[in-house]
Amino acid sequence: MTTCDRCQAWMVEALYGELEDSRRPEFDAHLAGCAECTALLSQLQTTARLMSRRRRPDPGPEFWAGYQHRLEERVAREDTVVDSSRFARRRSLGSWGYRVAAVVALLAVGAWLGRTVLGPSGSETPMLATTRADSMPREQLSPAPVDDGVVSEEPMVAETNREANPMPIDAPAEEAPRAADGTGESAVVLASDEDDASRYIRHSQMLLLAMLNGEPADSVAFDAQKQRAGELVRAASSVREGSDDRRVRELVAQLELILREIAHLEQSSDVDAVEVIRSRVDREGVLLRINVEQMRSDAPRATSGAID
Amino acid sequence: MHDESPQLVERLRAGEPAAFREMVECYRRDVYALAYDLCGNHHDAEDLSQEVFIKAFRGIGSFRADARLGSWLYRIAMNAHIDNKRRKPVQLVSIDAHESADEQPRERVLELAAVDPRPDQTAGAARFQTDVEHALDALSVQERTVFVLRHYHDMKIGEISESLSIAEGTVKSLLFRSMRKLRDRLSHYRDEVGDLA
Repeated sequence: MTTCDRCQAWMVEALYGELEDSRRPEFDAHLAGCAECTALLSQLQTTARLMSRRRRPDPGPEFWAGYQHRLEERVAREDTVVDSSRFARRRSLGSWGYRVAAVVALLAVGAWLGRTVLGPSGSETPMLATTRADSMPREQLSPAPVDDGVVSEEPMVAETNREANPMPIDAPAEEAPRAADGTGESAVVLASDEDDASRYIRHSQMLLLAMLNGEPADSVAFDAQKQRAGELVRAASSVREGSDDRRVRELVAQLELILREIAHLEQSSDVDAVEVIRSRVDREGVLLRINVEQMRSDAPRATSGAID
Repeated sequence: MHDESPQLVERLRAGEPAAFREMVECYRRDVYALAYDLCGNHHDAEDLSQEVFIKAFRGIGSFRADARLGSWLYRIAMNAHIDNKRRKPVQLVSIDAHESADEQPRERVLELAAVDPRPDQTAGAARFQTDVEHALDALSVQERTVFVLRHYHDMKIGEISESLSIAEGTVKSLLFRSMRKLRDRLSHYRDEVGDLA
């Protein structure tokens, strides 16, 4: 950096009286020998004086007298809009949930038919696998603490049960039900053929719902959400590369950007940043895209489940 | 900025409507002034200032106890403004249209300028006011935000850096760039400054 560059880097500090004392001698010495920097400083001082002459108009007593009232009217108006949009969102999730329930029921019927009509008489292999096909590294998608109000790794049936017993979207996740046969395996093995992309999208969806529908989070939940978002961001590229579906890749890329914003939120005071993320999710129709993608991926699964 | 009482923050946290009104009463002029400096017109300034209070009321739970309510409101204003600018498409307007875009505040500026006892300077003052606003409009959102915070709201470079979550070097660079742009835009007034200083 030349001396002129250094001098100009300090110029705004000098202009507003913020130049450190330790730098002042070097700054002054340079100005004493450099006509160009001296002229520039003088021009900026003049500009600052000109800008100080700018007048800010007072909107008048009538404006201030009605300010509070107009604000309260706006709050009431926005509350109405927020309530109805949340209701609409829940209703749309509800409708999606019924579709999932129908798919699960179809799979169950298919499995029963397969076992009783087409299957071998022995019991060597259960028709429905009881292990999860998790190819994604566990450290990338490890479950969040159950009681943090964020996300827990729920099997699909939990969502179905939730539809049967409607709960607030932001209610804490229930513990996954266990198999009745006492194996300790997840009873919901119907989701075992869920691929990495579907699982990634589902985890992202749950995180977004927990974060965007909830009240301002406490610091523990906030940290857990951020951590979860970071894990999903790290997993995004491998999920994208592993998918042949362009729409899935685009959705994962879109989610990655939003999750990255969440992961980089500052601690609790970032309510405005959360608002920015919320409006972005709304604006880009991210949750709708997720629902559409899940319905797309559920359809072939239902078919294959019935054939199996 | 006002010195808020800790009780006010507590009452806001408790969701007391009276506390909300008190906060608005205390800070509305400061927040509106910042909003006006950021937006440059009355309509958007009122809109932004209301947005700030609504966000503050809804997000008071996340307000840090060790922070200042006024600074927090400023921060919400800056971020909301930057976000609004990102969302709104750039509108191309003719130079003539600029004059009538926010007629009412300009009229008030004329009224304020008329306080000057020398009538020959009144028209010049109004023109100067318009030119200054146009010069500010020519800055990018970030440049304008940094400039008005430092120049009109007396925030230190370090405070701006913290509030906007950008490096101090970036703040200095934005400030330097904005000053040079303003200098170029207002170069024809430079000779007059001697009388006005």
